[in-house]
Amino acid sequence: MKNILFFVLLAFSCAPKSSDKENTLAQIDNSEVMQYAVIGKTIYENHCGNCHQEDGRGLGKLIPPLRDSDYLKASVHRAVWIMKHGQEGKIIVNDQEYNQAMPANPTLTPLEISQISTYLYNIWGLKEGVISPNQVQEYLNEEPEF
Amino acid sequence: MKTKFSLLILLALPLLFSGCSSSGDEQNGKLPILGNRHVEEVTKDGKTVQDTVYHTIADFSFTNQEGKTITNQYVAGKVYVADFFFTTCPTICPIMKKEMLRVFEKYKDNPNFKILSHSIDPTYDTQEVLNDYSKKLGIEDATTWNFLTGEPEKIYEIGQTSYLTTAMEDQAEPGGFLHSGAFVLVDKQGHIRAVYDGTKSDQVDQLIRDIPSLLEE
Repeated sequence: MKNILFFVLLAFSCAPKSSDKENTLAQIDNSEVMQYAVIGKTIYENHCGNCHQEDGRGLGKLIPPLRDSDYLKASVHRAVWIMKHGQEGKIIVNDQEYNQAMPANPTLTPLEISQISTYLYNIWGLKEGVISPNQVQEYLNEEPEF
Repeated sequence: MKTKFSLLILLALPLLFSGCSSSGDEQNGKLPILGNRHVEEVTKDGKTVQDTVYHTIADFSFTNQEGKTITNQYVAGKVYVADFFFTTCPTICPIMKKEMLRVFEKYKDNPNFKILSHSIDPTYDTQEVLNDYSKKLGIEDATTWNFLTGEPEKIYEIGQTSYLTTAMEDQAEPGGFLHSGAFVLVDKQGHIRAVYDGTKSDQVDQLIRDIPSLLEE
């Protein structure tokens, strides 16, 4: 039995190495949240991951982190608004100043934004539950305080 | 039964490990010289001999983030990686820079290794903008990693004809520029030896593994 284990381990050690890939969806145990988050993860990786990185850690002092980010945690309303309309000017995230404009994403629908936000607000230690398309629509109707 | 199985594993071991070897390596362990080549007849010591002329990076002159002029002279006899990006790029650049940071971290202390990141939006990406960008990326000075600006036409031209990659203005693209995510590995003689997808971490792992062989040449 030990031998088999050894064999399996060896085989795995050869698998193409992807640096620090983590299974973020495994952090979700609610099935309704999961329905949104599964699609949200894909949209996040296509629309947001280039800059904020798949691991959510951002890039140096250029692009702020979303993971363990006090700025993200502080307001779902504001995050939803920024996903759609972008953001310009200085912001402070975890005591670090960032000043790189984020482009708007006018093509993202309320459903897609709800999937992205449900994903982001239920991984990396957060547990906000489903952020519904209706809720997103309400957030988009009114500009939040920045 | 148990011993038989162990034996099987022992036999299978070399197979397993052969599966691990990198595909990029040539049989003799040397990276090939990429690009077109042609044979020229040259006269040496009164005799006509055939000489192979390899694709070589053309002469260039750009300005780095510290305002210094960077030419071929700067990278002569050095191994370097070239790429094309722009600071306001909303698509693949941040991933490329994250991956390039890994290359930088690994070889930043080697004086014979350099990185040249060319801005394809040099009108916006002035020396000051590039300086600010590189500092925020965590690159303190231009000892190893140079962020280059210059005449747009010259940068597009060297990108396409020397580095054999795509770099041009294109209003249809997000951000207004079209460029590939290629990391181009250039040897001490200015020959392209390999091209990697700078947005794929496994390809950048391969780049990191390939650099020492060129440094030793």
